[in-house]
This record gives sequence, structure tokens and C-alpha cells, in this order.
Amino acid sequence: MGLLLLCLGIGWWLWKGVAAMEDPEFIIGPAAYYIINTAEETGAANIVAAILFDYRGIDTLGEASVIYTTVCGVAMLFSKSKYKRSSAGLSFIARRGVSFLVPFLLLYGSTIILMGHMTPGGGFQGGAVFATVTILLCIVFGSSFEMSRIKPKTKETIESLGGLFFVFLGGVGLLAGAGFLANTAAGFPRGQVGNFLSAGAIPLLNIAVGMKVGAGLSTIFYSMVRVLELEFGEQMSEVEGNDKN
Amino acid sequence: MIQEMRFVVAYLFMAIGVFFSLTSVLGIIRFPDVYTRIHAGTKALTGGALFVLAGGAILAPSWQASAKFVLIIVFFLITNPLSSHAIARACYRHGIKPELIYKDEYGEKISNKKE
Repeated sequence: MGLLLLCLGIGWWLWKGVAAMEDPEFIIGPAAYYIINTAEETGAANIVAAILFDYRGIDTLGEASVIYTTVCGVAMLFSKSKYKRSSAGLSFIARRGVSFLVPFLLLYGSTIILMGHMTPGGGFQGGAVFATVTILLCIVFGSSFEMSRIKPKTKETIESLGGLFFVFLGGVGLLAGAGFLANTAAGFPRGQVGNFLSAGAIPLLNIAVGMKVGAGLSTIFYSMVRVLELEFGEQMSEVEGNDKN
Repeated sequence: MIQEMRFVVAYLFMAIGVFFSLTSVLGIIRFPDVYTRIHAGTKALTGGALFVLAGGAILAPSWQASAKFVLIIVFFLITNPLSSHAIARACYRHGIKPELIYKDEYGEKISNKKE
């Protein structure tokens, strides 16, 4: 009974918080500035994307390099040259269903990345969807299938290219004399708010971050699953024999 | 008149969906073992979410929005049985036997293949 009252109390509190947001008096400080000026200054309809990739671009570069460092660390810790690749996967139903779903998942991920400056989403979220696709392939079809389709070297290349592209876009701002990661000030066209081609460098930065995050997360998963297969490899190959039903 | 009818039908669908979700919660708490609980858990989606989404599709202002709801329903219909199938199969292969069972055809099939 007390728990129910607690839940109701917290729910009422949250509802009051959400309802207060509609009142413009509660929007003060930087929040008010961003809401008023974002569309004019950056051309992005998504204010969060504008803050992430325009006003706070260097912070985002820092976040991306955190992921990069994690990938380097995990790949180094779990690097063992000899391991058993597994082709044990899930049942026929799961294989058939996932192979039907994968193209739609890829479409969904690229939509999230490419529309990141207009709708909720962006490079980080879309990259996570791309990583999910490789993880699904790895679990459902076995890691040897996943590795034959997307080689680990390719993933590393994509990740490094994403990072380089991000820094290069920042360097364009330096060349134009407007500062690192400058957007419209560096001459990127602002476009019409809400159009697909708008917001200057933000879509390009989204693509760069998407490449980095997608390849990075999938590399982390792959290095960890490799260790699992080293330890449980024998069990898995035992299951493999009668796994075709 | 048609507008009001639409509201009534949509809220009826949503109420059915809420009922299914409630039964699925009760089932997850009350059922004895993993497999019956998976059975109850999937009802939250195949029964609950689908009916709520169908109600939303009826309420949606334009046919494009309704089409989006229908797409979501189709993807739920594909993915939900798939994932519960994979979970149940993994449980069985891990060695969890169902309680209160009088014929285990899947187990017989596996042991026949091993011999």
C-alpha cells in the first residue's frame, strides 16, 4: 500500500514537472537562448543536434574519442591470435526471420543518422543500430559468418575514417578562420530549416560519428565474444552437430 | 456520428490491449516455470501492444500515420514470436526441463538425433 502511494506520489511529481515545461517562465538561461536562436544560427530543426554538433562540437569530439579509446583498450586486452571461430547459430526460424529483418534495420539506422539534424536521433543512436545489426548476425549465424561478411580490419578502417572525417570537418573551420568545428561561420551553407539539405556541417558530422560508433561498438562486442568462444568453444561445437532443425 | 463511432471503436481496442497486458503481468507473477512465463510474457506484445496500436491506427488523423502504425504492428508480429522462440529454445538447450509435462517431443527428437 505504501509502495503504491510512493509510486502515485512520484508520478504526480513528474507530471507536474512535465506540465511546468509548457510555461515559458520556466525556461531561463541558456535553454531560452538555444530555443530562440538555434534555427536562425545553425539551420537545424533538432535543437539537441545543434547543441551537440555546433555549440558543443568539441565536447562531442571528446565523447567520440572516449569510444575510440575504449575500442583500442578492449581490442588490445582481448587480442589473442589463435581462437576457434564458431559457426553455431540459432534455429532455422531465427535465421530466416533475422535475414528478413536485416535490410530494414540497415534502412532504419541510416535514416536515424541522415535525418539527425531534423528528427530525434543522430550519429550515436544510428551507429548503435548499425552495431546491433552486426551483433545480431554474430549471435544468430555464428561469428564466422559475421566475420566473413564484415572483416574486423574493415571495421577498424571505417572507425578510423569516421574519426578522421570529424577532425577534418573541424579543420575546415580553422582554415576559414572561424575556429575549430565552426559551422555556418566557416561557410557551410545553412539551408532552409527543416529541409534535408540544411544545417551546414551537422549532417556530415552525424555521418562521421555514426561510422565511428557503429564500427566501434561492433568491434568491442566482437573482441569480447571471441574470448567467450575460446572458453566455451567445445560446448558450442557439440551443440553445432544437431543444430540444423 | 462517424467520428464518434471511430473514437468508441479505438478506445475499445485500447481497453482490450490493456486487459491483455494486465493478464500478462498476472501470468508472469503466477505461472510456475520458465516456459509458461514466456507464454504469458509474449501476450503483452501479441495481445496488448498490437491492440493498443490498432486503436492508435484508427484514431490517427491521416492515412499516412495509420500506415505507420500498421507497419509497427507487422514488425512486432515478426520479431516477437522470433525472440520468444529463441529464448525458449535456449532455455531448453541449457537444461531447464518444463514442469508438469507428460510428453516431451522436442527432447525425444534431440536424443534421437544424438544416437
